[in-house]
Amino acid sequence: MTAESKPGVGLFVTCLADLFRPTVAFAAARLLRAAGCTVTVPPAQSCCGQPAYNSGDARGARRIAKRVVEVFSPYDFTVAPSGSCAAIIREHYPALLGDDPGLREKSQRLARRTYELTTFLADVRNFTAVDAAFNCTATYHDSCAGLRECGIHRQPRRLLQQVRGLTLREMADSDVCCGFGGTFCVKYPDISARMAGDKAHAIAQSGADAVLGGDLGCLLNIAGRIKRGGGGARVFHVAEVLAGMKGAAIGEGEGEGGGAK
Amino acid sequence: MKAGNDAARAEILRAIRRALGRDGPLDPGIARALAARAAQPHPRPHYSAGLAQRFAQKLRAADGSVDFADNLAGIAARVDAYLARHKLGNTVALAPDRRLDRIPWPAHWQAERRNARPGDGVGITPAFAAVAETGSVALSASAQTPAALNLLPATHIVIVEEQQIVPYMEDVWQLLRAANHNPRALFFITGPSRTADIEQTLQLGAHGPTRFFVVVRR
Amino acid sequence: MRAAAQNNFPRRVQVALGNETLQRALGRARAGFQDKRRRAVGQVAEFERMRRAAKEIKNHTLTHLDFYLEKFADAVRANGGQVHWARTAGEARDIVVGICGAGGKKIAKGKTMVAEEIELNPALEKAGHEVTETDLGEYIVQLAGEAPSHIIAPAVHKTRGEVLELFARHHGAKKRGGDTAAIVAEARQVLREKFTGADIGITGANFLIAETGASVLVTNEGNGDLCSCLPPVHIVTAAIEKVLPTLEDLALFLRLLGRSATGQEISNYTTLYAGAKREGDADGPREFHLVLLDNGRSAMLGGEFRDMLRCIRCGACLNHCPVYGSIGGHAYDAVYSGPMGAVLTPLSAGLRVARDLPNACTLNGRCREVCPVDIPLPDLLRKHRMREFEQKLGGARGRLALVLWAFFALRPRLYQAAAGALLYLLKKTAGRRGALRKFPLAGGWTQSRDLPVPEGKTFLRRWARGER
Repeated sequence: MTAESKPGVGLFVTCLADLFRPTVAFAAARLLRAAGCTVTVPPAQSCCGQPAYNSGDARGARRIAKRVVEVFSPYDFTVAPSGSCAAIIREHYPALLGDDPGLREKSQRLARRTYELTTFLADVRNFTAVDAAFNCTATYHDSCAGLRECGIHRQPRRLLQQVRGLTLREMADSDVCCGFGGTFCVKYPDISARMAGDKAHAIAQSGADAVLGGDLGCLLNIAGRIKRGGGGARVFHVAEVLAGMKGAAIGEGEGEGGGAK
Repeated sequence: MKAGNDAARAEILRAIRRALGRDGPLDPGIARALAARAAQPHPRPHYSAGLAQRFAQKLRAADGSVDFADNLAGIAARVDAYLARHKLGNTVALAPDRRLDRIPWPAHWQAERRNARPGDGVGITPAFAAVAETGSVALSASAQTPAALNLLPATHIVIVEEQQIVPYMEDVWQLLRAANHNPRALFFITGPSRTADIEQTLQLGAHGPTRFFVVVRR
Repeated sequence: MRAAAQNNFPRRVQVALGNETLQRALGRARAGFQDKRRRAVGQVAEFERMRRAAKEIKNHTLTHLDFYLEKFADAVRANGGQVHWARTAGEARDIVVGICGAGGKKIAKGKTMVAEEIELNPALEKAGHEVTETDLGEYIVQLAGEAPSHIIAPAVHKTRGEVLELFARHHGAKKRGGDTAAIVAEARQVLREKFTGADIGITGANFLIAETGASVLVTNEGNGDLCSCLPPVHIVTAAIEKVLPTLEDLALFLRLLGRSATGQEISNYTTLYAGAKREGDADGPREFHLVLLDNGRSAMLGGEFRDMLRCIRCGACLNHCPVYGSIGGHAYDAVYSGPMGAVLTPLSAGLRVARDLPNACTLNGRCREVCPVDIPLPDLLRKHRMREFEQKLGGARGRLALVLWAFFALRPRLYQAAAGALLYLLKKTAGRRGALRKFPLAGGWTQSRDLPVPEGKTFLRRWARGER
């Protein structure tokens, strides 16, 4: 394949990966290159505007959305290692910017070309060259926005089947919210804790020793809850596992957990 | 009272029209078109079983009992056997309906043609129709078919002719329209009364009948 | 007024989460309702098409609501019934109290959420009438002096043991059996007298049919039918959005309602009532009254919450909401709870007092997924949040955080600088640990979970330095 025919992907890092877990974004970039794309990381990016949008600050969300549309419009595709950030761009930007004649079409175009990482790999690139090993029984948490707004369910599972040594075992209620919900988890910590506790329980019941997912918000929440006494499953972003880049699990310190098995 | 009601009606309709961006009733042409809006069939569950078979299967799934008879005497025998099997005695309230009068009920019964009374053990009514899709019987309220007979007796028995079983509820609407009939009450009953209000545990016989038995005459 | 207590939402949440009996009941209900719906919906290949058709019919009906309401009202009158229009809850109460007349009447009530909405029972009791709820769940909460905690399973929060105690207290101390069958038999016996002795029956309506003037009542117990058929006066309280154009439309909605609510293909008793006893009829009420309630709905029709008027009160959104499943209905302290209640309550009680409800939601979207008429509940909840933000009803701290976040998000260089400082601080606090038990300003997070520590530098910084 010549360089010219490679689709150009703008990597939307997401603020949580940028701040908490750069490995996720490195893994995403590696997978995208393996899937035959050229990867660019626009430096002028930060957040998709979700905190503002979901907290009722439509004006703030609109300003951020406008910025994202401008920054990411040059690329063939925009890919994010997060279902909820991709969902905001795909499902909500066109409505948010619909009244702006200069941005309506641009936002619709961006929406059509934006994907969550595993759906992009599986559905758009038909990627079957996963080269990774992880000896574990893993269970998958379906993050809500990804599942219901981007239709992410079978794609990460299909990709994970290619990981050597990894067995998938479904937990009960894998499609039920973990209680993260962005600002919800700090505004209503009691309810959030109950939901996270239910999730940790379902994970423990599944007998899996690793829990994977596609959204760092949920994974930080789940890992934080498990650390506080909710079983022993280790938490990774699906991209880290697929790229063979998993080091310490989320919430694990250096020298804890023994690294990869 | 009347004036107040008229004012409230006018104000609610005005508020609705305002909300819909209109300042008066619908344009008469549109209103006529809406009135003529065909009673369109909507998507609905497809099934391939025969009507009587489907009816029986669905009603049994809803905890009702179904039996089949070949003639009027057979109906009487099936009902009599049901009463004996469940030790329900032989005192029966029959809907005062000609369709039931033709059935040779057992001579040892104390059968009364009347509406239900609070302590009744068994009530028998004829059906208006039956719906195979859901295993429901349709029962209309009339002079011959009192509504309370569907509700008060501990055991409710319904007599259905096989040709009364229609595929879908929509077919019952067609029967009503064909007869230009709009009964005061039209019941669709599917099995005995039940509740799950105590800890989600299903319990039959909440307020209406505890047993529900249908005899279909082929 | 219940709305006054809305500000205590966090307190009510704590009480609910700490109530082990309630938690057991909620856990059981959640699993039961979800499994039943999943099975019922899974058996029908046409379900999605049915759902889309239902949404279209509701939208069509709402767009011509005045037309269908008038048509319905005319048909009710032609059937020998009387139609009463009520603009407000107060007006509806006055109408019903007026129909009931002089005090001392025995009133048997079938489950009606509209009656809850207009707070009918206290008004009837004040007028000197004896009101008995006859739906078993409603009867239980009436004995307990509580409000329903679920629109289709009012006593879902009660355990069998609690019901036994209530019955022993109210039905006399006679020793009775303790299983569910015995409880139901006891209620049946007590309530049977209420049906046969009632002067007036009051029910709600699940649907109103413009074509024939029928009020459609859906129950499993048959109690609503006893209230409708035995007493000499039958009063139906229903809201204006309940109207459907034709009987064909009704068939579709019944298929969706049963499956969505209880996982049944059809509820056991589905009855169409068209007016008073006719000449020659063997039985039936001599008077039939239909009270049509607006109470804010016509205003909703013209605003951004119109979609909510499609709601058929099936309860599926409650049954699948992880927040409702954690705290139950009473924590909402409103007639309607769960996602649909979180949309409706701020509209009726005001956003200022009910502002917690649209916020106490993770926007996980499960409610919309199971809604038989595809109401975009998360979007409607987000709209409430937007109004709240516009009206500056939320806390100043949260608002400041949002403003700061937006400020930095729009300034990537500053953002990276601030992020670097924050990460340095977190990392320094954590040392070699992978997660923190406490961190300043993160109390909401760390009270029940650890805070995973960031890896170190931001991705953008590392990428800019050439790391791959």
